[in-house]
Amino acid sequence: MSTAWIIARHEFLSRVQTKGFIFSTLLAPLGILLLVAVPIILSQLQVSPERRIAVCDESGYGLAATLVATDSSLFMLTDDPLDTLRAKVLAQELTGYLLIPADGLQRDSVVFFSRGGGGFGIHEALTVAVQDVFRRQRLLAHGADTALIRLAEQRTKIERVKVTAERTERDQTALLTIIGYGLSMVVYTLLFIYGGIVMRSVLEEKTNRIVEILASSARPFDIMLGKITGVGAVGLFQLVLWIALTGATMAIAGSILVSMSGTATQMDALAYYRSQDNDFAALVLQAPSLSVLHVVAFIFFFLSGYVFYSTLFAGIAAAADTEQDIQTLQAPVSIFIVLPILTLPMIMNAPDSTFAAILSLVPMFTPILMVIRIFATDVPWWQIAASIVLMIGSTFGAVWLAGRIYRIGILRYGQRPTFRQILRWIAEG
Amino acid sequence: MAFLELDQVTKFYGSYCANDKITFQVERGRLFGVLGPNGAGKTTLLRMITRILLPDSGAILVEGKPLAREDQHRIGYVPEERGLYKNLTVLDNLRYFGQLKGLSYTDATMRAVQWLERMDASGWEKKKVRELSKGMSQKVQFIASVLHEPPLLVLDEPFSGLDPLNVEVFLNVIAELRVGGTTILFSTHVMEQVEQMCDDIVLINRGRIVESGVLRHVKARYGIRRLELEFEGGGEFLDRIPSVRILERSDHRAAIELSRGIAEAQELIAIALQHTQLRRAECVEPTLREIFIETVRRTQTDEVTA
Repeated sequence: MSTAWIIARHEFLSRVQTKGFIFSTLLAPLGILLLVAVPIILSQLQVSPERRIAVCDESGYGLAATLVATDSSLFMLTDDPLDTLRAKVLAQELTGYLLIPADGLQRDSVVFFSRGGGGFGIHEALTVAVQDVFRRQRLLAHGADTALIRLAEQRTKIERVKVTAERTERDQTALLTIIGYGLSMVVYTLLFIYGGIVMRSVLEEKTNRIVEILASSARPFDIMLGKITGVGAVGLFQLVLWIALTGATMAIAGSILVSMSGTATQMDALAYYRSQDNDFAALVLQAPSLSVLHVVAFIFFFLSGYVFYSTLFAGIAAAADTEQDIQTLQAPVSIFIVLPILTLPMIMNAPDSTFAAILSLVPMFTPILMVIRIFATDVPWWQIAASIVLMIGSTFGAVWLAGRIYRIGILRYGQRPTFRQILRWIAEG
Repeated sequence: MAFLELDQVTKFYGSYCANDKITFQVERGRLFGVLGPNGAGKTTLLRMITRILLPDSGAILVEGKPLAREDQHRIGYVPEERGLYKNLTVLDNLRYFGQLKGLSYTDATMRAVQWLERMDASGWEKKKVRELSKGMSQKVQFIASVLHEPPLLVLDEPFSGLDPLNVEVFLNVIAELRVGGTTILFSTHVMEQVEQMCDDIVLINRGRIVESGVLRHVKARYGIRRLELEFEGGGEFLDRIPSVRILERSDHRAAIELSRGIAEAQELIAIALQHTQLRRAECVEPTLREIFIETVRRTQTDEVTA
């Protein structure tokens, strides 16, 4: 059994058995579930507080009655004098009262009296309802009939259909882009988390002089590679568990949504939530048609990005002497993980642009940007091939580079080397 | 044929020469001490013997063959600063290091338990290393280096920071290993330990060997240099002897440097007999400490801390 394998297995087993790993593995999908489910549930429960608005109509066009008809749980007709209404608002029996003045329709204005506060919700509900009622009244006044009004109020639906060689299917671009965005963020987070684990672990072995014991049993290159493989296996394992657990929680959330919608099947529930414009619920219920390519590409770009960055981090930690050195030395590497995140909104809008294509082919950016592009659009095959070749090539380059720094760095104590010295280590190798 | 042979071994760090043409041989089953002040190049030398570093020039031979990667499995190493995973248990640490030296999981486990028992440390298996005292973790470190029963054991400053009881435990185990045929090479700047244990020594200063050989022969080479007296009453008579050089002095004892050998000793003893009741008089070889200091001074250094 090779020493690199022994080291990799040790790194994997000793990390997977920690409480930290078990907690983070279980809690993350739960967090996602909460993030997705809570807004849906809240929007369905209509937990808006008891709100009553009295409508006082002085216009004589019967506007109040029409308004109450739009939402009788919110609005109520009243004949009370204004003083009484005012007292009721102060006594908190009413949220507020709406006064439609005699010339309200001509001047296009109403007055809303309340104690203030109450959030955006009430103002928005009021605006929409009053504007609808007034618009209708104006149209009627100009001789439009109800049929015409209904025509004017009709909303146009845009159904998106994607054309492929084989068939036409419902276009899932929006959904897939959101998933791609999420997965890019997952790659970004994991690069930092697992790159950081490699970095801290190399530094721990160096400062505790464990690395001398290791180096008296194995080649430095094998120690580095074994560690990166072992920690990477932990990352992949956690990712797979997350996907499985998230899938399971989504399925549970889906069945809850079906029962909440009062329909029998998933499809009926989906139609119901679509009609309610509840995007979150639709997202949970609509199983996106992910291809094998998507999954394979995601795993490839995550893994190659992890190896690329974590070897560089290992080299950095080997050169460092303290935690502070790491902060200084890692900045020139970390910046390349952060930069693509800044371009994500731009790339989500135009994943096919030349700009997006060029950026995603730069190896440092590939792991994050190719993931979102592959989900958001059909990336030309030659671009995928080129990015894979470039990524593998530069990963080997990074391993070679870091290996040289690591070999010399792990046995040098006392002072943080300058960049010039590190370059000399690489040259001497 | 010597078990371990170093031939003109040289190592540079940049332009700084840490080891300069180091040449010596270690016979099988001997206890071999590498001495020298701090910064003399001892650790670099031991790292090359354990193949953590490679020499820039010169050769290291094990049983006549150049030291190879596979030989690492036949060497046990305890570095100067202890290295154990603090968050892992004692058993996990030992098992991992044992496996790296080629043992199977079960063998490593079994031997770890046996060795813990042998070192008065049974029951520590499940303890985290961070809970151990310095002496305890040193024991664990030592066990990690001998689990795979290496024919060559390399110890870098093995006793620093140990209390006398623990030193005794270590000395006993080292003696047992030596009887079993293990060749043991260790570095130190604590001379008393070397005098107690070592068969052979090399003394290194500024990267070069300045003294080497069988310990007894080295000491004999420096000859009789010292007279030790123990007497009743005061030692005022000593002050009246012209040109005497007193090395150490207390109420009833004195150590005197002899510049003219035995003849001078005879004269001094005669004077002492006239003035005091002499209880003991002995001509002694220099201690290793004295040889060490003298040699290091002779080779011009001011970094002596021993």
